[in-house]
Amino acid sequence: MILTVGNLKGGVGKTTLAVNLTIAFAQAGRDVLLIDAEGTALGFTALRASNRGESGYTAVSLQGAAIRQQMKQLASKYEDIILDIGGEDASGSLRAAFTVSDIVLVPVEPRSFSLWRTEETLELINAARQINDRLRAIAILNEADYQGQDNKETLTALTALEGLEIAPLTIGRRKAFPNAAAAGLSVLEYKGDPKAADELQRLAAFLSSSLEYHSDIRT
Amino acid sequence: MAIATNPKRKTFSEEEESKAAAFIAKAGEQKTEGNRKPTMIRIPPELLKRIDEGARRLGISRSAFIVQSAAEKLERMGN
Repeated sequence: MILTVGNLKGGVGKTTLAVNLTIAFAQAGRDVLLIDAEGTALGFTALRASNRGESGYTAVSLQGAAIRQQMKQLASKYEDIILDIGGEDASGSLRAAFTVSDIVLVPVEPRSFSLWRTEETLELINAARQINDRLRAIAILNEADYQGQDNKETLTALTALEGLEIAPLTIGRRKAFPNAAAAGLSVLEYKGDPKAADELQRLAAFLSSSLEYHSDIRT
Repeated sequence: MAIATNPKRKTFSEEEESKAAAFIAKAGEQKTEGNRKPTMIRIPPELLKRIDEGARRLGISRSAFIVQSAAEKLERMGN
């Protein structure tokens, strides 16, 4: 699977989800490559390797059109490739990633600004589908609130967007994510919050199975 | 965790590659001039010539070429 974690909005948890999913797939025995366009995930990987002796996956830095060019060589060498692409549509990295991915996972916070930028991200995804007609866009409500109506209202608004699927689960605003990251760990390895680990496992399983069901479109 | 099989990768024709390159090259172009700050920079004439040639090959403006290049460099620097 080639999976881009992307949203034009910054600070929605792209890198956090990308590194946690990378580790989840690697722990499931998959050979995983993490492509980082802006350095944060590489920094995490270096910390992880330093703390544990090895990271358990390969991580490289790629930007712009090179992401598409290199993917031709890399795609056959790994079972899963996860791309962590920063916000903004200035460098071409996000566009290049969209042209080569099976799925773009769009983290969305239950906030108005996040929702608005998601609509713009979807416009870019729809334009990329002229190049890559297999590209699926899946929104995940990330950093969901513990209470109140904002989660529900955000999900309702997302449902109205054409061409965007909604993941059947949410990821809560849990301190375990930054705590684990600060130690070079995924929440699966962090002992303090089994609920965070459960949410991440469910997201990884959902992404794996959703591509399995649709893999016939690639052949 | 359910495991997906590795899907077959398709190869792309020259025409598909050309369409993809044009799509990627549009990064940094905005529909309006809002949120854009005019900036005067000094560029050696030979480099400017190469920038214009690169922009022409990608079918984008000099300004878009410079914006994309700067954004890529910042990403590589981790900023």
